[in-house]
Amino acid sequence: MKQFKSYLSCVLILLFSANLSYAESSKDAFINIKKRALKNEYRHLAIAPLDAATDLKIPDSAKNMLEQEVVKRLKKEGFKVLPPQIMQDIRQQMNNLVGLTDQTSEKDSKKLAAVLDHSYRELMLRHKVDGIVSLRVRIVGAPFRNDKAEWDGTSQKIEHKGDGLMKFITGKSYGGTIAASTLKVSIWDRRETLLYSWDGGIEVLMQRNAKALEQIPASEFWQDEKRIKNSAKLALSPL
Amino acid sequence: MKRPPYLPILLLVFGTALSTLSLAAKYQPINEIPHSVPDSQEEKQIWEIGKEHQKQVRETGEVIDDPEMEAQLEALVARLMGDMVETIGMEVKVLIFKDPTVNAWVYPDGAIAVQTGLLAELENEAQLAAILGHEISHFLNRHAFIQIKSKQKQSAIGKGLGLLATAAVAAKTGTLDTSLMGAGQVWTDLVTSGYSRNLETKADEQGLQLLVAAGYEPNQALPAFEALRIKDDDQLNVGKIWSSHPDIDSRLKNLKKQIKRIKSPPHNIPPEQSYVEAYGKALLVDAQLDLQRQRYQRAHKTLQRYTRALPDQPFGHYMVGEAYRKEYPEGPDFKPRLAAYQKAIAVDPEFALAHKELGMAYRQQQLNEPATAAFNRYLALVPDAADAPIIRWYIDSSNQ
Repeated sequence: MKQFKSYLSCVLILLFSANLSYAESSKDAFINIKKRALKNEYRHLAIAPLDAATDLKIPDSAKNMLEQEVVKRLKKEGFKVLPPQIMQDIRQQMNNLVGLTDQTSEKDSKKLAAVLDHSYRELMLRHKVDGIVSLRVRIVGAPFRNDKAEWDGTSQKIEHKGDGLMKFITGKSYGGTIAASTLKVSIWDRRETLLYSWDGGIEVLMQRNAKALEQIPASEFWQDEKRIKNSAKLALSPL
Repeated sequence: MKRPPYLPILLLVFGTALSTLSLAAKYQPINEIPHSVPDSQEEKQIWEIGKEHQKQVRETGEVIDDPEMEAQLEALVARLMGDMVETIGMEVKVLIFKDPTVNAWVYPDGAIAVQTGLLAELENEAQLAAILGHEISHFLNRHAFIQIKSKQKQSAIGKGLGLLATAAVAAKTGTLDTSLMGAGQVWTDLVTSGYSRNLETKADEQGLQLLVAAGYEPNQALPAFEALRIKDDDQLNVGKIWSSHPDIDSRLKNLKKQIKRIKSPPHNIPPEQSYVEAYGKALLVDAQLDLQRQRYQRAHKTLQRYTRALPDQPFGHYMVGEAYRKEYPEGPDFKPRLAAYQKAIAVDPEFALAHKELGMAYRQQQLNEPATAAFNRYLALVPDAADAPIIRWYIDSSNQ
């Protein structure tokens, strides 16, 4: 009987946790809208050019790969998609008109605001899309335990070579948070109301050496094509 | 005997109420303290944290920078406080927060914070005075300090509050390290947790007395408190609300009883017109915030009040047009939007923004001729506007 009770409580705990994680994911990804309504009412989406934290030094090849993967997956879900290049071209045109460059944009907030506002309105006027998809690569804190970091639907080994032996000898376990990159995909309606937002983990930005955590050189990021593509899959998985 | 399962909760509630009450009894009201306030190092530190927060919110632009509007509010506070301002030797200060939540609070040093959401809900100066009177009463009775002390007692049984940690360290070391906790968090915590029911009741009753003493109609406290009732989901989502107090009905009931008891002769109700004239800017800021949150109905209501009271102010009409644009970016009916911009121009033909948006609305409908005329007027008024080259390009491309 005692064994049965313990078994029952285990099942209940599992059910309860499963229910919780489902509730949380569905609540978090779709904002102000139900999944079905989003898919039915927002058929035509424009993808904004990917924006990434400057520290990540994202190469064009990785940027294109992420953007194309998002386009591909949204099309697969039945959306009509306007590729990022369209918005990029409009933005570039507005930049040229007001004389804004990447170097001057941070200094001239008025011009930047004008460019953003008119680019958005021009896109809506020309293409009459139902919504905008924004892509942003961010740096987040990823929790790790011993040799594995897990965040935003993905996981990655962080153990330094030789640590396994050390752990075997000392019997010590480690835990904490390390920096990792994540792709955030958000969908906004024409009134700029946020409808959807979800993250897909890309890769860790730190590793463990024998004594401490150390930063991975930026030149070593963006090498794993599989991880890059998988982040788009994860960020769009609730759809 | 089996112990009821809710006993620990009851004990905790009772204990908290008791500790608040006993603390309230221990600390004299500020206006009755024979020497200067704050009267302890600990209280002084808490005042300092509050002042630090006031400084921070001014620097970050969280409050409206309008000395004239602040001065009007401060004059109202001074009127409610009467001689006490001099007795206490305090500096009357009011901050107007850009926040659409219906809320107001008082810092331990007596500085009062009112949010644009509250100003937009109230109808006249008497109602505003009722809320300010309530907050003044919290200050005079040192409720913020008492509440913090009460929370400190609770923290000893496991309820941590960053403010308490900051204050406790400050009290022990004599130095204030606000980095221990963001000053913003300090006040969010304080306002979120709210005051105990007893302290609120006391502030309600004393606030009413201040209202009457300043020559306002006490019945105006009722619609003022009614405005604090949670009105929509957005309010519910925000933790730091005065109106989240669950017993607004019983407070209104108690207020009605107090009003009867006071037997004040009827007073004139100050007109809505002068209220909107005085706080119109806050109303416009609040409407803008509502538009950002897609609360179109509330934004329209506020803008309607503004334009009715101040029909000769072009910005109000322009904002009505913007409200239509945000709500119906694709039309299909552009008439209300166009009419609003045209009204702004009729009031002030040199109001450049209305010309631009008029042009944008025409362009959206592919009405090139009126669009060009409106854009040309805009460029004539502000030839150096940041978006002037884009507008010129709109004109050129429509002519091709």
